[in-house]
Formats: sequence, structure tokens, C-alpha cells
Amino acid sequence: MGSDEQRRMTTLILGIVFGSAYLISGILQFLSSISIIDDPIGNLPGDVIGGSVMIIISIIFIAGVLSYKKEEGRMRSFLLVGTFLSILYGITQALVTISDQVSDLIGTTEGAGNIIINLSAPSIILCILLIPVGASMLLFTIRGEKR
Amino acid sequence: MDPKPIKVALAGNPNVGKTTLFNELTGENLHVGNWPGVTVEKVIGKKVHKGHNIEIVDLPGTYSLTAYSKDELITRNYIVEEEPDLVLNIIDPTNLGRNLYLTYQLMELQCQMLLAVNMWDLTKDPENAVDLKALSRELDIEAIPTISTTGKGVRELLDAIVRVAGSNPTCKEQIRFNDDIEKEIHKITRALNDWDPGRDHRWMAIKALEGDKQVWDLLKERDLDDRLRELMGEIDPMGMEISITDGRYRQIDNVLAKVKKKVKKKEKISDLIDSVVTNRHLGIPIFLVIIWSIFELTFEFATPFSNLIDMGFGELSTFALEQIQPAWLSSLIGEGIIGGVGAVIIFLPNILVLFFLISLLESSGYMARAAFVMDRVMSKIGLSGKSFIPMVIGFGCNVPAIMATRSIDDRKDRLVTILVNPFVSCGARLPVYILLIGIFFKGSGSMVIFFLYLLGIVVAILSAKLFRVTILKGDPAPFIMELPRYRGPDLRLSIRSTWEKGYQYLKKAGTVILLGSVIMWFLASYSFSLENVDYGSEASMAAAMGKFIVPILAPLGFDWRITVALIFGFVAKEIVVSAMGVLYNVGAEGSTLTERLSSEGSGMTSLNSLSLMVFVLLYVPCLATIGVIKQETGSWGWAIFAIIYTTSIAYLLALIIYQGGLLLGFG
Repeated sequence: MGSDEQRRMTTLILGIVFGSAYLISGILQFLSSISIIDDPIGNLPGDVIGGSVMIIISIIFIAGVLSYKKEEGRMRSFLLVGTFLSILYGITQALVTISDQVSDLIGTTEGAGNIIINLSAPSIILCILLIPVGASMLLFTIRGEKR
Repeated sequence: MDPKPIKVALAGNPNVGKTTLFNELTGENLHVGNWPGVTVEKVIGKKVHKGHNIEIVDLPGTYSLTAYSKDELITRNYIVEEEPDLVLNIIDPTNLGRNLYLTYQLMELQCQMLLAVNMWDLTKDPENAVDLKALSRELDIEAIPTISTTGKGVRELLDAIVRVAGSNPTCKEQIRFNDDIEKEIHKITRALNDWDPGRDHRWMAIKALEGDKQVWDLLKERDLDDRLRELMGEIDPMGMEISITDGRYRQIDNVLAKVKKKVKKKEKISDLIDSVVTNRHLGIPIFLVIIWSIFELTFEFATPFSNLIDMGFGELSTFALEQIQPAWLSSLIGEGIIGGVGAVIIFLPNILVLFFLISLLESSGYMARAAFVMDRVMSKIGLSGKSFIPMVIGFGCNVPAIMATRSIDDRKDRLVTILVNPFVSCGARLPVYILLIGIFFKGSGSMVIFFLYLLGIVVAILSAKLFRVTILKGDPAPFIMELPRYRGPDLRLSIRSTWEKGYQYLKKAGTVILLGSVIMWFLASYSFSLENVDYGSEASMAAAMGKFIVPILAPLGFDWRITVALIFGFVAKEIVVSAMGVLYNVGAEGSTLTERLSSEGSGMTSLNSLSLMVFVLLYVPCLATIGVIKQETGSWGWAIFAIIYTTSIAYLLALIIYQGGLLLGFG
């Protein structure tokens, strides 16, 4: 298998893995917010918008997977934008979690919960996993531009 | 020191970094952004360099000296009529051909010139590499490489400005057009020489042949138009304009062949990202995710810091009320000043986060993509994508947003964009939302803010459609916008811009809002016969005023205190919060405004607070916005129309929300 084909397969697998992860998390998060699921698996907060954001991100990854037969750059572009949005969303959620803890600490709100559990929300875990993926894709594309 | 300043005009295509360079040259802190059309008016800055006074004028970007929009006209008029000592032409090496088109037109004007080849760091890419010496030699103009974002080359540029402006003007190499065009130029130049001997009229002759509107207006003013038309005979103006443009580009191609190497184009990150973010189906959802993240951070992340400041002001107010004598002074300081100004300052963290994130968005280059994506929606309702950028700028403040409409060429497009812009929620309305959402919509704060902003945009879009089929009939002009290169976050620039916005917010709190709070305190403390009454009692002027008007606003769920706050909000929207801070000292318990509004005595519920937020979002624009609508439309009629229209829409929607909510049992 040549390096181009290897790259294409890696991009495809990453798209499938992250697309599915975001789709499942997004749907569960959405459904739990409208009380269809009482106790979703894992640490998924009920959140209509958050769930919708995760579904949008999953659609971007899946659109990349569906463009498999087109040139590799096209699939990579979906993965790149999906990764960027995932990181944006993950960082947003992490900062909001930290600010909730600060509010709890200064006594303006109560019941922020355990910070470790809150920071292990799927959106934050997936964001952490995607940071090296995004970085390597950026480096690869920048090197390609310079070459 | 030389007393006469050297007048330098910064000219160049849109989005080449003129304002960033201007800030570096002068130490000013003007607003910058990575999309075409940020600067829409001329700004003058000063610099003393090596004993020379230099007056630098930042001008809106333009692709040529033939002006189509209001901002382009400002640039052209300054360069042509003010005759600066030096034109500093800033060019982008990644788009050299298009940038040189303006350079050649400036050369035709025979003005003293200097070139700043900006974004020089990008020339490391072989695709953008430029042979600077060859460029300088071919154009016969000194060229300095600069990187405006880091300040590289600024000192060399200042040295060159002093050197070139002090030298004798040199006659620049002119483009020789084909014989037919040259014959026509010669004919017109001779006629113009008869009228005004001793001047070089070649530029005017070329512009006349191009059918330039401003030149023909000038010729008409001087009764020369008929004579020149006679001389031009059967010339097809459109064909002539194309031939002249073609002549310039042929010359530019000759220069490019000498200064640029031919390299094979490669796949760029920008292209990869654009293929997704401008996607027909994914573009709008991606835009919504980005905007939602901004509001989530603005509301949720900044809240603990706002709460801390709120607690501090609560303590300060209690201290002032308990410790200061006499009673009227403690009331003025504790209830009037600290209650009013403090109620606004507590939202500084939210404002800083919002402006920081908007500034990152602006510098990233994404704004132009958002406009492109929205063009499909905008064109369906009768506006062009160009109208979308003023809407996003409106998230910060409606005043610069309305001024940004100068880049819209079509008059009706521009007018519609101006009239609907006040519906876009500015930063000044944010404190009202955060205050009420923090009390009545805990847990879904960012979602409510997101929908309020979205509601503003939807109302703006629907109003535009209404105007397009009624008072401003017509089709939108086609949307053409250059998509700038993406740039990574420039923290230095973003922090500087955020600091400037935060400073302006605090300045407003210390001036207009302080004054408003004192007036509000006075109205709540005295009767019409100027007797001191119980604070906010029935006998106070504020209560009398509020109760006089409240029958109109009562169907929206508002009491007299909200009514008074809304009236004063006409001056500046932040005053709504400061007035509530002053007026809700009455009859409610708690040391902070949040505590007082949550108490039973406040009369506030989640339903009337939602109605209030929608009303504040849509009702009459602030005084400064009304002023700029009058200035930009040139008519008080449109300004008054904006007041009546926005307030009617606000009233209607707030009424539907409140009465509908009551009917559904949400009261």
C-alpha cells in the first residue's frame, strides 16, 4: 500500500471513528435534554444546543467519509474543519466547566459537582483526542504547501 | 523641527493591512479586521520622525481610482483633490497583479509615491516570492518590505517617507496605450490645456475616456463636457474603458514577468477549509456553531467574574448608605452612583470576552466566508451578502456597523442595510440580557442569549424583505468579495482591540451612564416641586413620569420602573440597567441588583423579563445610532422612520410574548 493510500485510509478511519462518536454522543445528549432518555450512558449532560452542535460536527466528519471516492484532499478538508469545530466546542465546554467551579468556589452558585467528572464529558475527551489529529493534519498540509 | 507637516496618504487595495500599518506608524489603535471594507472613512494620525512632522492619512481600500462606493470616493477625492505630498501605496505580494492596477493609476496621477510591500513574510512561499529590486526598478518607485502585524520595516518606511517627500517630484514612467487610445488622449489633453494651460491633463483625459462619472461632473461644472463629447465623436465609452484597462494589465503582465517566478500552484489550507465552510449545506450550521460558542463563552465563562464585581459593588453600596452623612449624599452615592454605574460595570467581564472573541473572529478571515455563505439567504430576501458584514459588526456596536455600509455600492441595498441594522443586538444590550437571564433563565443562559441574537437577525432579515417589496423596491446588486487568506489568532492585536473596547465601555460608564444615574436618582428623590420625597415614592418625578406612560407599556408586563428605565435607554442602552439599579433600590430586598430583582417585591417574572429582553433588543436605537443613521442617509426622515418602525416591531413582539405567555399559563 503506498503512502497516499495509507493516508487516505487513515483519514477515512478517523472520519468514521470520530463521526460515529460525535453522532452517538450528540443524539444521546439531545434526547436526554428532552427527557426521552432518563439516564444516558456515560457523562452526558442534557443539552439541546450542545447535542445539536455535536450532531453538526458528526455530519461534517461523515460528509468527509462519504467523499472517500473523490480526491484525498477533499476528505481531509472535512476532517480538518470537523476537528477545528470539535476543538472549539471542547475548549468552550472546558472553560464553562472551570468557570462553574470558580462560581462554586466563590459561593455565587452551588452544586457545580466534581470537576474531574465534569471535565470528562465526551465533548472534552473527544476534543483532547482530536488535538493531535488536527495538529498533524495542519503540519502535513503546511509541509505540502512549502514543498 | 520642520513646522510644515509632510502629508502622507495610505492607499491600497482593501485588506492589504493599511490600517494595521497606520497603527504601527502613528501609535494609534484603530479597528482592524481581516476582510475587505473595514476602513470606511479617512483618519488622520501624526508622527514626528527625525525632526519632521508627518501627517499620515489612512484611507479606505480601493481597487482603482474609479470610485463606485462611498468609501472608494473618499479615497479618490483625497488623493486627487487634496494632493498629498506623498502617496504610500501598500501592496499585497500574494495578489501583486491586481494590486499593481491601482499603483499604475496612481502613477498616471503623477504623484510622489513610495511602495510598501506588506505581508513580506508571505513571500517566503515561492508562489508569492517577489524580486523587490526588480519591482522598484520597473516601476521607478522605491519599495520597502513591511510586515504590519509585527511592525517590521516601519522604521525604514518612515526614513523613506522623509527622504522621498523631501526630494524633487520625478516624472514616473507612464503607460503607453495603443495608438488609437493615445490619439484620443492627446486630443482631449490639448483641449484641456487650452482651458487650463500649464498643467498636465493626461490623467483627466484618460479618466474622461473611461467615462469616469466624477470627471464628467467636473467637466460639466466647467462647461467643457459638450466640447469634449464633440471631440470624442463616435467613441464607444464601454469599449474604450475595456481597452484602457487592457492596456494597463498588459503593462502589469510585463512587470510581473520580471519580478515573479512562475511556480506550480499547490493545495492551500485556505482552499481546503473553504471547500467545507462555504459548502452549500454545511456553511450556515458551521456559522451557527461558531456564533453559539462565542455566546456560550460570553455568558457562562465571564459570569463568576461579573458576580465577584457585583458582590463588591453591593458591599460598597451598603457601606456608603451606612457610613456617609448627610442622608441625601449617602443616597446619591449609594443608591444613585454606585447602584447605577455599578450595575453597568459588573458586566465588564462579559463585554471583554465578547469583544475578544469577535476580534479573533475578525482577524481570522472567517467573516468574509460568513458573508459569502449568508449571501444565498440574503439574496433571497433582497439583500446582498455584503450587507451581512455590517450585521456582524453590529454585534459590537451599531454605529460603526452602519458606517460600514459605505462599502455597499447600490444605494437601495445600503439604505435597507442601514435601516435594519439596529435590530442586530449590540454589546450595550448585553448587560440587560445577562442581568435578567442570570436571574430568570439559569441553566439555559447562553441558549437564550443565542436565540435573542438570532431573533434580532431574523427580524432584520424579514424587515429587509418587507422594505424590498414596499418602499425600497428592487433587486440586490451582485455580491463580489475577495476571500482573504486565513490567519492564526493575533493575540497582541486582539488584546489591544479588547482593551480599547473595555476602556470605551468604562469611559461610557464614567460619563453618560454616571450622568444618567445621577439624573435618575434626582428624579426618584424629588417631586416636581423640588421637595425631597421618600426615595422612589409615588410623589417622585420618576414615579409620576413612569405612571403617566405605563398604561402604554403595561400590556407588555412592564411596571413604572421599567418604563422609566426604557425611556432613558434611548440615550444609551446600558442606561436601562443602570436605571434599574437605581430604581430597584425601592421596595426590593438585597444588597445587589440581582438579589433585588429576584425578590418578590420587584414584580419581575420570567415572562415579563423575556418580554423586556425582546423589547430592549428591538426598540428604538440609541441616540448615537440615530445620529449616524441621519448622517449616512442624509435625511432626518429615515432616522425618524427607524425610530418609529423599530419601536413598533418591538412593541408588537413583546406584546405577543407577554400576552401569549399569559394565555398559555406562564404568568
